[in-house]
Amino acid sequence: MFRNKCTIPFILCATFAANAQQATVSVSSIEELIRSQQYDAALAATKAALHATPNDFRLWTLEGIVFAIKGANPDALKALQRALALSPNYRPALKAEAQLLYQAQDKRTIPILERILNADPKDGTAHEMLAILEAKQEHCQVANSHFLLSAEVIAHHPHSLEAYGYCLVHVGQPDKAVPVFEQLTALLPEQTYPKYDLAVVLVETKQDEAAARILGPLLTADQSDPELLSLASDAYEALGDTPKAVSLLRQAIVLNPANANYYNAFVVLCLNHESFQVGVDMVDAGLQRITDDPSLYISRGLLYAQLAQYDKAEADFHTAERLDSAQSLSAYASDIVKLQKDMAGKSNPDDALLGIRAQLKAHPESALLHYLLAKLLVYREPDADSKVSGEAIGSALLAVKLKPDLVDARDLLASIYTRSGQYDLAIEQCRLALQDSPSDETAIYHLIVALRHSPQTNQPDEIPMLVKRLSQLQQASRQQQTDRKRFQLLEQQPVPAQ
Amino acid sequence: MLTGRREFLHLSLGALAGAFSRRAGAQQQGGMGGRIANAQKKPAASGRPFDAYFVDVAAVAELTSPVIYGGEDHDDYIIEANGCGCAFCDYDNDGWIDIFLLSGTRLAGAPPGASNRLYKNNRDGTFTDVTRQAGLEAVGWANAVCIGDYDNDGYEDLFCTYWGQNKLYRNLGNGTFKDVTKEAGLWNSEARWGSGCSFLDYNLDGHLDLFVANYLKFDFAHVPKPGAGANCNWKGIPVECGPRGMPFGVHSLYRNNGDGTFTDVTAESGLGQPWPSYGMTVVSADFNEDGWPDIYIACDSTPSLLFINQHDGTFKEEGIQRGVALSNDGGEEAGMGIGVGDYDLDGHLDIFKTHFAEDTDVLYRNDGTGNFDDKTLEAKLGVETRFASWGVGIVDLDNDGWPDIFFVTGSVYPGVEKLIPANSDKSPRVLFRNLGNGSFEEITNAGPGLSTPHSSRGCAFGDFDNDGDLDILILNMNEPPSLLRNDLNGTHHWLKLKLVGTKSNRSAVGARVLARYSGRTQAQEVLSQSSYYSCNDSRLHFGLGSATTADLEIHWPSGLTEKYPGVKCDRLLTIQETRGIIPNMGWAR
Repeated sequence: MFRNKCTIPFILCATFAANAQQATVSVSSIEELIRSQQYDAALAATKAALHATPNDFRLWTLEGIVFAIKGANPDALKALQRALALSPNYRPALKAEAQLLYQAQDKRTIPILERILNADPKDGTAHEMLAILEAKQEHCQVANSHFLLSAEVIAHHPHSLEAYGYCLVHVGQPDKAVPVFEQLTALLPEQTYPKYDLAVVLVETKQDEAAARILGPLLTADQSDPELLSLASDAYEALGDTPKAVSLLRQAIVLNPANANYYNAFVVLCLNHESFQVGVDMVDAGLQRITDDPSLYISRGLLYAQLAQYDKAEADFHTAERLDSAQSLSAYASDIVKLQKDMAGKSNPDDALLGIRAQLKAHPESALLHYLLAKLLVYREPDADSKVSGEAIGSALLAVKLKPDLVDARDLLASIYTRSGQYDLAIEQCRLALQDSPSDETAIYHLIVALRHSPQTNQPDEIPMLVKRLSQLQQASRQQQTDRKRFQLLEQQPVPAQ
Repeated sequence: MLTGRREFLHLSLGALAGAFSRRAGAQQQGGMGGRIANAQKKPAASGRPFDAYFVDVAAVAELTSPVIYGGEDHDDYIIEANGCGCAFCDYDNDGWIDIFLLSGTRLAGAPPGASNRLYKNNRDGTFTDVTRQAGLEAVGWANAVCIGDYDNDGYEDLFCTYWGQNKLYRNLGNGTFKDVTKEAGLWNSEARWGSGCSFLDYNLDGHLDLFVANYLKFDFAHVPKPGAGANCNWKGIPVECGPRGMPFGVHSLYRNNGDGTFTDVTAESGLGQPWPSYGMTVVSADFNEDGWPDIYIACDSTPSLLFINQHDGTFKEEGIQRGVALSNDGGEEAGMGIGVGDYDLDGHLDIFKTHFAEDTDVLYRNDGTGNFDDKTLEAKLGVETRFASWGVGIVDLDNDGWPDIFFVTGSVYPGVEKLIPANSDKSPRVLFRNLGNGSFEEITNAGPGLSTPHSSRGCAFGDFDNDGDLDILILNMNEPPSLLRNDLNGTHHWLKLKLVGTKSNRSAVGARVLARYSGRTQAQEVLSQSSYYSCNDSRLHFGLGSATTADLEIHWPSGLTEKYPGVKCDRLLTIQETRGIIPNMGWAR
């Protein structure tokens, strides 16, 4: 995704710096030749001077620069490395070498840039280059810290802004990516992709009206891009305009009927609007075109489960597992359905537990499965004195270790700790859950309960504030649910023949 | 445009995972709010015998008229689904509890004979329908009954809630009742959906005031038909709409003026705001033991409400912070019925609340200050999630000294069974016996009265045959009621208390009794309504186990505390405030 066209004027800066620091006759005359673009003469002068003073690192640096200008990068690197061997922290040589390696997107640039920054921590250009290189390796946390320190420099560099925005999203900070993509959009007003990226992060951060304002003109200009249609569908659904959302998504499916994502998005719409059979029929249509996509089977299985057709649901999840045993969602879904089946009194109560244990062997790194095991153990295996088993606690802890933002697992831990009277541990889990999901009603309630019991409660106003917050969230959730249910997806019945 | 960027943000499997967790996270579908919970694993059976055995003797007792309520195999509106309550009440003061059953109607009009019914106890195991002569014939969408002697004349009066107009029936003391709703100042200016109700003396002036919950605002003209609007489908099947999506009702508090009339004090009491809750059963009791009655309302698909009496004529809603509004994970539940009792014999009133199917019911343990903890799982009560549950009691059915939990069940979607057989319209009664260690075990072999399926709503607990155990009256939808006679075996002892107020209200509603036996203390309180829209025998019943005496401590609403040490077992005791033990009225034993 990165465009390797950075034109950072590092080399000339380096020469001017050299000039400022080391004004000798030969060096200054060679610089003059470079400025007047007499590169061959400059190279000859440099070689002559080096013959006389072979340990002058400044001359080796100038030779490296001249080679670089002439495009003889291997010779340039050799000369610069010679300079650095004589004077390891000579910044003009470091910068020139960094520039050469950076152009090749060579990872060896990174330690050189770090040396530059050791000498001058405020060097915005070095921060920017380092950020780009780290971002390319998807080391987004590190990249973001350098982007932040090069804010002034990157403000006018579209590709750096783009990489920064990407990395902010990558580390789960789409809210911080919004101003970055806004800046990118302002820099490139004629381009579509910055607007699209901005709309994506606006939808992510639930700024749906703002997203719709951006997407509206894009849709007016062009309705041939299914990705754009699908994104707009998300935004309009969030704004409560379900008919428009459905229409856009259907259009996306028509334009690209081989993309499973659109069918899955349609399933999410059907789930939200309790229109399960319509969803099944749409996925059936998708499966005629894409027969081997596990996600479609997972989607349909979930819909079947909502229709209490548990056997069909399980069959679909097994198919998904067979098609892609690496993904663990089908195992998770299968277990969920076993639980639902169990609740409906249609299965052996221990089936779900056996199933999860087996699936964990296949997917030991699945945080969802560890969480589900913990949840099931809490209900299934109370020991004689009603304490929650150590395995349940261990599984929940493992789930949050594998996926620290799995707030459901933190909520479960808070519940377990509350039951066992470990209120301070419960409080800790609640606060961690609320960091990731400030609207987590379960975490707020557990926090209220735990604070009520905790001797460490030193904020008497916190409980009333939490009660108020919880009540507001519940009312909003209720309203949202009702709003969603205003629309139901129906299939158009064929007109009977006259 | 960076194709694939959105895929990065919206990984399709990730989006599905989100959808999974939302759906698996357990929300009821359609108009029902509330969570879906996993059933707890059933523990191994204790192997201990359970001495109570229930036989439905309704037919023998001549309780044969069906309770008409909504469609028999299909409901179009929520008003047909919720059903109504019943009561054990000694209306003629002969010492034998009589039966009052509410009734509904049908959309097409009530069939002949449909009415609320009053049955007089013939003292021989049978009852006589005295509805007409008592002046209680009424047809309509009745919901709840609460009982109390609001005029302190010595006879229990009835208050019935309706969709439309509620009714206050004054007991004239001669076997008849008079509808005094208008003259008492309880007439609504417009149709309302009165749900739970309770007499209570909220200002401790010795006169019973009245609290009436209102479920929601319902109007046939504006409610869509099944499947035709939001909140009108369940598991893909069109069902009656609601309650979600319908406007909340506003509850009412009426102060007794002491002259047979009431004044609406809703606004000044702080109860008047439109709480975002669909209120159903109401229980008034002194939960925080400060001597002033509080009000707890089981709310459907929304947080339940606990109004704490502020001692100055006002109440403050504290359900969430006191732990009785939500499930243990902070979820809204479909609260319908309320049982109140002291399951762990610590001298404090605990609460059991019933919910919709696929959720556990909930046991809230009171710490004595009106703060509660959800003990459902510790008590092993989470094993049962199959049924929509309604009328309930925390009652000692085997007289072993440990209150058990009994509740009745039944679907609100009678048509669904044809499409999803697992969701049967009729279902058995549920009994959890108290193991005395903080946990319960489900009993399924305590007689055909327990196991025979019905679609039930209200139920009331009382000793209709005065044989020293608790029998159960159950209201069944579109069927005759059940009268479960308790054929109790064993040698356990018991004690029954009839309280009569003097400075306090005559019914002694709100009087709290602590019975100490075998080193433990059980609390009970005289309630005007509990279970589901129903009222129990006002005589408090204590199973004593092997204890032959009990020490009694009575906290009267007036503030007076009286103690009766060493009371002998196996008898009814009538205690009049300030005057002590007085002769029983018509008690046969």
